[in-house]
Amino acid sequence: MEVALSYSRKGIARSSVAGLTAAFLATVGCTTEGPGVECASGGGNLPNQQCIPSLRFQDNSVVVPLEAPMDGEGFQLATQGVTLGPLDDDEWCETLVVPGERGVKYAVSSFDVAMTPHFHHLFVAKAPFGGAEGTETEKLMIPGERVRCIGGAHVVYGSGLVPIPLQQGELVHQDYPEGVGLVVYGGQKISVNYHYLNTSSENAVAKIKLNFNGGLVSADEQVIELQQFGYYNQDIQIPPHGRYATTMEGTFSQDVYVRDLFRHTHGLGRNVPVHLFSGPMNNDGVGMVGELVFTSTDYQNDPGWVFDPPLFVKAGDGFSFTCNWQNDRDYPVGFGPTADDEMCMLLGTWWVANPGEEPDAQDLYKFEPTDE
Amino acid sequence: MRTFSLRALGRVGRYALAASLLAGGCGDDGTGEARGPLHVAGVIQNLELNTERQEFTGVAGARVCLYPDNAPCTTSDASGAYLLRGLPENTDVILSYEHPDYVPVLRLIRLFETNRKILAPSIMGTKELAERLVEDFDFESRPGRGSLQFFAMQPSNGVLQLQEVEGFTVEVRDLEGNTIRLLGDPGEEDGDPGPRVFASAEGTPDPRLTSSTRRGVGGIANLEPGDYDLVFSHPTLECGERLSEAGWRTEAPNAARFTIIDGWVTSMVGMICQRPL
Repeated sequence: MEVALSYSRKGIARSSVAGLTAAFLATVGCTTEGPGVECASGGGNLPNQQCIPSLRFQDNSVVVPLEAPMDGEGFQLATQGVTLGPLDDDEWCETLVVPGERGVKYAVSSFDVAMTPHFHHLFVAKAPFGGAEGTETEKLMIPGERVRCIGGAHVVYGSGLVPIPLQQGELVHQDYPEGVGLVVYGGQKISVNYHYLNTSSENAVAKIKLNFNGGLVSADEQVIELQQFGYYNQDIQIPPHGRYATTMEGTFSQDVYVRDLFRHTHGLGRNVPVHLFSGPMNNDGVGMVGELVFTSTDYQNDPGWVFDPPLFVKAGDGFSFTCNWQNDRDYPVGFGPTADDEMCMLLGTWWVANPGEEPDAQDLYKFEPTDE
Repeated sequence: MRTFSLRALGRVGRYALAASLLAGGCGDDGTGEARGPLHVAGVIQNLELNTERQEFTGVAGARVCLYPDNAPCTTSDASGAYLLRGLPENTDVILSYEHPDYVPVLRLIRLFETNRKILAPSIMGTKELAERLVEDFDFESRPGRGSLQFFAMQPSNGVLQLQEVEGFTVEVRDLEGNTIRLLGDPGEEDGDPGPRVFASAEGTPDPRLTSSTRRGVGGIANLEPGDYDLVFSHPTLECGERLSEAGWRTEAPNAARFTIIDGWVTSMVGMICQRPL
């Protein structure tokens, strides 16, 4: 069942590993030399894609092979985890706490993520941080508590959470762009929302470790934070044995740098061309579609694009993207979460181009067309 | 402190939750004649004030029917989940939610062939709660009238979910476009219908508020039965993306059409407001 997308599925292959005899095989580096470890193939047109080792654990292993950062180089947060029975499909949220004296400031420049197998999605977010008593969101989050949160962390912690752009995977290292990072504070509460689908016939353990790599900085040090955005198009009405296309435009409300784009559809999705777009506010009330940025040709193997160098987009400009579908089924298909439904989204990471400027939320929705 | 909100409206949340319910097989009790190929699934939740944390409890044993035919029908299970099959396509329909201990509620939904619909949680308040609110706010519910509950949501930050809109307001128009003046409007101290009520930041219904707080919800009492348009406005956001389960279409993009029926609360008529392009 497709419930929610992972932000980054940049072709991380989940190739099986033969000859697995240990609880896990932890090998780092982009190599196929180590027994049982494969280098995830790229797939797609990501020019800067790093080769990421793909690891396999025994299905019921609780060991996640990720060492904590050295002292002074960051910290590790780990979920307590949960055991899933065969074919269990479940979603949980845990509240973890940034170590250190309340209020000390960390600038995080990279992450390591380790997840036991059978994960479906991972969303990590931080509660707004403030004052000695904490914010309203923080008050809802109880450290060490694991709660079922089908649908996402907002169901139990409210909508004040701030997402942390992270890749998911059995073992992933993710560098933030140079000069861009993430700020967290000692005592700040972190929500780890994980959805697991145990497709095996044995018990499995869902457990996650996160390394926040970076160091303490002074309270007044400016850090430009990486953000993520989404254009969510739910105008999807694909006829049986037919085609359907729908276009959505989005703009940014402030000058930004965009690092990457990522298309999300399900299996009926075909090409998704993405163009630059100059919004109505920059063009006397009429939006204009610009040059082609890239065309995503496959929903699994060619979903994204990385700008190198990052793309400057001025306020009022953005992207236009078109989802195309070919429906070979006997019934119509609309928006929805399951593999039987479809989605149409353009997602990406960005940061403010003008240091010191507060980032706005840059997400937009399109639902059904006004005229059917 | 009495609070309520629509946080559970997150799009992924509603679909994931209901999808899990579908997988679990909650179901049609076979009452009534099927009218078509579509189905609606959802969860009925108890409107709980005084809750700081969103831990909804389901309303078990509620009767869910296509209104006014009372067929097909189904009954919510122990968790409040229901699955109503056999609904017609390409039409606007009303679903009714009834339970002996709760104030009866209606929802307005547009059904078409590609939305085998999974609804956001439907909220029902107990009759006891309604009586307490009447006492607390010196509010008189008039016979022969119905009430409306409305909301507005906006995109959240970087994730597929919606959050409540602060600062929106609404007005009610008849189908000729005339604004219905409400009790509490300037110069309408003794009039009716009304009043228009928004939830305070703490979640308490407050008829003194003229726009929404961060709770993003409100209501209008004592409307005469009939069809109306609810027009949404916001000082900086554009209200205009409509949800097919939150009222019916109108020619104006920022308006949702709704119907009021004597003795019922028409619930969850809403709109998406977001920044202009």
